[in-house]
Amino acid sequence: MFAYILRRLLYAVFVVLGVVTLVFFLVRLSGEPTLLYLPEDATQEQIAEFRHRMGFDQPLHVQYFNYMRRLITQGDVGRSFRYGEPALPLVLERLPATIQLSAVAFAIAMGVAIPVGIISALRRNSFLDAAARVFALLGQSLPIFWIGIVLILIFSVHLRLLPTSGRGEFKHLILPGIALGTYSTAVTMRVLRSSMIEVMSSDHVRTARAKGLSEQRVLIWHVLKNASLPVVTVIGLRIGYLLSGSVLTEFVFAYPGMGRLVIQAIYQRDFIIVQAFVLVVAVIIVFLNLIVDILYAVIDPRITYH
Amino acid sequence: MKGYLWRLLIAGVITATILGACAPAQPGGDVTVVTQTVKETVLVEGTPQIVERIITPTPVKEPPTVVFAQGVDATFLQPNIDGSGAQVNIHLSTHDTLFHYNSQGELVPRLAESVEIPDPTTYIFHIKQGVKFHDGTELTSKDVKFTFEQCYLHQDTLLQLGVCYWGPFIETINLIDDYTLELKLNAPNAVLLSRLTQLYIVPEDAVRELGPEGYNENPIGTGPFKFVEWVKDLRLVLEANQEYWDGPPQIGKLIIRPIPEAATRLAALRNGEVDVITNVPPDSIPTLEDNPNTHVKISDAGRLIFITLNPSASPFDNVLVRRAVNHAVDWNAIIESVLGGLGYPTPCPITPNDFPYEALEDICAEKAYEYDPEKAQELLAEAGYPNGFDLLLEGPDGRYLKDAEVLQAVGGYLEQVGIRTTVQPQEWGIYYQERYNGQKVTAGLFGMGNPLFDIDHLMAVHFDPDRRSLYYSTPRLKELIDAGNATPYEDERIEYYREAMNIIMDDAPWMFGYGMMNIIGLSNRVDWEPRPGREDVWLAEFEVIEP
Repeated sequence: MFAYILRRLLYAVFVVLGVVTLVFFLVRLSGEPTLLYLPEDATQEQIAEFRHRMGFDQPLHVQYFNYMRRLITQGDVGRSFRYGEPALPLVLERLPATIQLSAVAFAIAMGVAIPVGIISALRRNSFLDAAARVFALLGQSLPIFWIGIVLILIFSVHLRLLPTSGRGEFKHLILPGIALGTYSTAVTMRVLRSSMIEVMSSDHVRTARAKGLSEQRVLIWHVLKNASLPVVTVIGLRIGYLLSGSVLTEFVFAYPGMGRLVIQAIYQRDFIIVQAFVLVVAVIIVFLNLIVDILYAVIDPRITYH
Repeated sequence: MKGYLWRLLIAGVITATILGACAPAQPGGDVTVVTQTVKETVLVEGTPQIVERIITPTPVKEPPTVVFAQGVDATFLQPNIDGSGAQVNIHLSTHDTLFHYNSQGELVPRLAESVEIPDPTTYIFHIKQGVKFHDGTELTSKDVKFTFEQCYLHQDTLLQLGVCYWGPFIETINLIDDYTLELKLNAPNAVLLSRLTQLYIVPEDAVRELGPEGYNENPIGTGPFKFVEWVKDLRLVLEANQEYWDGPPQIGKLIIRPIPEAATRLAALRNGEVDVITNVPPDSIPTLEDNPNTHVKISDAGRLIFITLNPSASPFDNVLVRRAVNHAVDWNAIIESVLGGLGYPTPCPITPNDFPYEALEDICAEKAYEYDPEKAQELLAEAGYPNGFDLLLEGPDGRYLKDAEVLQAVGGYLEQVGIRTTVQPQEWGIYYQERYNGQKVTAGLFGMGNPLFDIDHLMAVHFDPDRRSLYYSTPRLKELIDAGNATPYEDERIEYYREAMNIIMDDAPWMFGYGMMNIIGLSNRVDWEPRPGREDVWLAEFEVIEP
């Protein structure tokens, strides 16, 4: 197992470097941002001086090698074009806020999806099940942006129960948490439901019931445990998406997280910040995937890694 | 089983829906009630005695707080790096300039009490005495010199980017005494004083002591507000400077919140979380006007919207075609229907706020292109395009109010005179780079503000071949631009710009469009008038109306 983890960590490094390379070239497809950073009446000399200072006057592959060299040898992600400061601290100082929002979204999602998924599976085709499935479909179809604005209109403007935006107290996390968690709630609930239905009709569950075990025991130790594997996969994926998907939510709710920073960076062509953001998110997702894989082995002793 | 499941569901629902208890707090003045014990001498049967009395003086009301929401947060708190609107709103609060334009559009002294111009390349500034920075030190001429040097002479590596890319036209700066400063330019510059309305004076000692990062986190200036706290992307808190040389602001505290999404900003105003918001979408004006707690202030933003035509490529290399398209579009109708009346036609490339608008009015009236689709078709035929031509009409999407819709409307008008138009609004970054990387845009919508309130700025940006914005110029126009810039004497400048305007109107390098309006939403507890011709919000001028 340890050998497996070590190998996975090594792969992780390559995956992250690969992602950083891909993003490096992708963002530069949108052209050079020089003109966006200089005032309208800048002279040709001033433009040339700026390009030289930023390294834009060098061929792309040279820029790439310089960037990777600094990244690998010094851990230097570069300086933001806009702020002039090192980009990694700029991104990392906003990470706690994003993690907090993602955690709340995750808690809300699990708090709703798991009970509802279970009940839906046990009460198949009841009214409750139908309603739950409709909500799940809406949750997956409605854009976060729209959900967020509607939540603000209802709970902040008309009911005046919650703030529209910002951060500071728990109440600031509720609406963005619901908006961000909606898609995850829907997906998790549907996967849990269908996974449970499949397991409940399996032989070993019928055997357990036939043995006379209580329904509660059957449910927890036989159904849920076996049904949880696909759900854990989905949850693992969703956590990663929550982190990077908070970009839109943070924008709508003026929430000071990483996502807000990166949206501005995208509009302003601040490549370095976008790259730093992707690096951080890639590291987190790779790490989380590793944890999910370990969880598999814990839940299902049939799964071994070599 | 049923009970167990229901318990599970309820637990899940409760976990998922914990509601906050309180509604957002209303910003406002707090009332402190204080009792005092006073000793008084009273006569009791002819004998003075000292008695104590407990009194409750009139409650002291703390000056109120105003919460202002704009679309972006500051990138820097130190001034003279980024001149964008959101930044300027903040710098105007914490710092001062030597001059500024007042509400009537006149250039008036601020930190500079007066200026002498003995010859066109020499400026002698007399600095106001007794002005204090927020740390208590006094403003003297050395601070002004230091600010200039940071900005103009690139002597400092403090700045990564600068609003100071105006060329090293300053030759020397001499300190004559603590309050007098002499500036020598290497060539006359007509807009130096206008440029100084964008230069915020910083304290040399504090900047040197704190260093650039330190000063950025503690932006000491002479302005009407002092810095208190900055939580990035969340709030900037400023408090009134009670020793402000021009009198302290009426409000006690100013909180600036960056809320990027317009719908959220609007919601925050409606429910009282914020008091003032910028960039209100025009569709929301009725909502705010109908709401008993809010209202809207609309003013001239001083920003031109127009469509540049590329004279280096067919078909716009033919002046007749350029004139034809100017006759093809009914800008008044576009302002009415697309912008809901929020705009005014600008048949010449100048707004009423800019020098020398009045001196050019007659030329403008004479040469303005009237909406005349028949004339447009005649001109097209004369130019050799009786059956029109194919055109790609480009522009930004979401950069300016209703820009994509205006573009569609213009496309519609062009179609009516036989020009087969493909309308292509694009994301701003992409569009902007396309404009300036090889001048690829045949016809493109663009906007231009004028922070100098001087036509020189527009000329330099759009018609000067030394700059990068160039789509159109002529040798004579370039001479006139240089001449207009090189003399500070207004009558001379007017002569040059009159000739220049004649050339521009005859050559029609643009489709001359309209001027934009600025829409600000306010809570009814805030009294404020916008300054015409600008998009900056002078936060020190907020006044809270006592209920």
